Amino acid sequence: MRTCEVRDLGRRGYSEAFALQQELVEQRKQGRIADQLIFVEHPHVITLGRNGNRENLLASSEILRRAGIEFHPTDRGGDITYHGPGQIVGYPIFDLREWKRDVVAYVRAIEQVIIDVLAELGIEAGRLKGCTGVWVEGKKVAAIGVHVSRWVTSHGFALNHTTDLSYFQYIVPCGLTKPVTSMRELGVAASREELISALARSFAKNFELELSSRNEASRGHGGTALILTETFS
Amino acid sequence: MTDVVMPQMGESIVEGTLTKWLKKLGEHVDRDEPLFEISTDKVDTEIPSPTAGVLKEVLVEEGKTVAISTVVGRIDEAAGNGASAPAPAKQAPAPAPAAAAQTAPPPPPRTPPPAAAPAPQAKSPELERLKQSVGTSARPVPEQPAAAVEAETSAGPLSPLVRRMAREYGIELRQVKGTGAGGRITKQDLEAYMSAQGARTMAQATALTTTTPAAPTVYAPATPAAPVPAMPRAEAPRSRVEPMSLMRAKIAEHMVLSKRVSAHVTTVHKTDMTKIAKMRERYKAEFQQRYGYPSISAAERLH
Repeated sequence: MRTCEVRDLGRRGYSEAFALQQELVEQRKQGRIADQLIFVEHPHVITLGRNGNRENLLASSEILRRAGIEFHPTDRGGDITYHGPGQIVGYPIFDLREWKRDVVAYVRAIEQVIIDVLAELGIEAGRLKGCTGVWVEGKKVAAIGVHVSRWVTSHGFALNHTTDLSYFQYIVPCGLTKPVTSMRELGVAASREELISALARSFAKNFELELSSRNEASRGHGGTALILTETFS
Repeated sequence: MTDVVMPQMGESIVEGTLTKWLKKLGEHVDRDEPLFEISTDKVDTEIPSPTAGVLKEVLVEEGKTVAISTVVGRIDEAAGNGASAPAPAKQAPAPAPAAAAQTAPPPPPRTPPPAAAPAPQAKSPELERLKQSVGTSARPVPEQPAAAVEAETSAGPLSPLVRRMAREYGIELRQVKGTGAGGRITKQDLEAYMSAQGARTMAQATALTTTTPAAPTVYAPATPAAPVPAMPRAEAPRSRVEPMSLMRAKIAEHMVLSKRVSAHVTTVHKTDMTKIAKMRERYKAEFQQRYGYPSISAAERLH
């Protein structure tokens, strides 16, 4: 079984987390490290995919600046999205050559990871044809955008946990005029730690990975090793 | 020359959108260095170059979606030092004979093609004539974008711009006199040809925004063209429709962006200026005497 190192970086700026991702991708390509699964929470930031349409940004840079929101064009797939406090962002750095060599299957599997976790919490979530992401009753609860270089993945998903959804008003999320929702809105009380733990376990199951948490202090990237709990309390 | 093909990024994937060329035409690329980027279902993927050399041909433009195994460009290794390596298409199951031909090692440069060269899809006699007139042999190409790509690739050294213009305007290249180096057809030649063609060309240009490799209009000038909406016929002879340059497209995009994100409001206030005008008249002479300026404007008084 392949191992996957999991860590939670806590609150980190988008650029800082992006730089770390790139470093890990490089190391993963060279086979110097195992698959990685990073969880992070970003301060308010709006990111635009390489093929994104800037028209889906509804606010001027001045308005964003006043609202304290950063703006980052980035190299992931997908259109525009918002990240902010209360959102669980996951960046899997996986080498797909050791999995299925299939980028679409990869995206479907990430959806499944989240669908499974929500099911554990009694929420029936699913897919919407042609609209990548995880949906609950026609509302998007998790967005996905991925970059692949030599079969090594970066970027990933963003699950709205206690996200202040009003921040989505500045954009047309993923270029779709469909509503967004959060787990809080859906009545879930689980904590961030519990959710991350459940997501990690779901990744392990769906991607057939053995999880290992590592002591990050020695690597200089910070972040906490995860305590992988068995069930939601 | 090594063909660069649209790779298959998974079993279920049949096509990909080429979103960005990471190397420019004529630029050197190392083997395994990222060459272009494709997009499939929220995944952007960098595709490494199958070999080292110079990017000699760009056959699929940014933004176009093509079937897997379609040749998107060609690399000339003569300028590089790397031996040819299997293209990314190696990962494709490639059951079709056309696709299989793609994955085979490319013939060494300047070698006459095998006898089986005539492309299986060559249906148009026009196309055949063109091939002969240009004197280049046909190579097997993937089925989907058949006519367009094939015609282009056998038409000798044409710049991507010329190729694109020919495709978008539906120009038969053999009717165009080339004035460039070695009789090469240049953009100017095409423009001159199009001016001469006048209205006829304009109608063809309807295809401009909608042309895809799958629906080539290249060798079908006889097809009755759809009327151009909102373009009065009377203007036709001296007008022609051109694709927007990238700069113009960006200008348009930003103007629309500005329109959308900022309030466009005009406020109008009515003010009775009679008293101010009278006061101005009254103090005019005194003001000039005291300060030396000829007068003071009403606007200044308003501050």
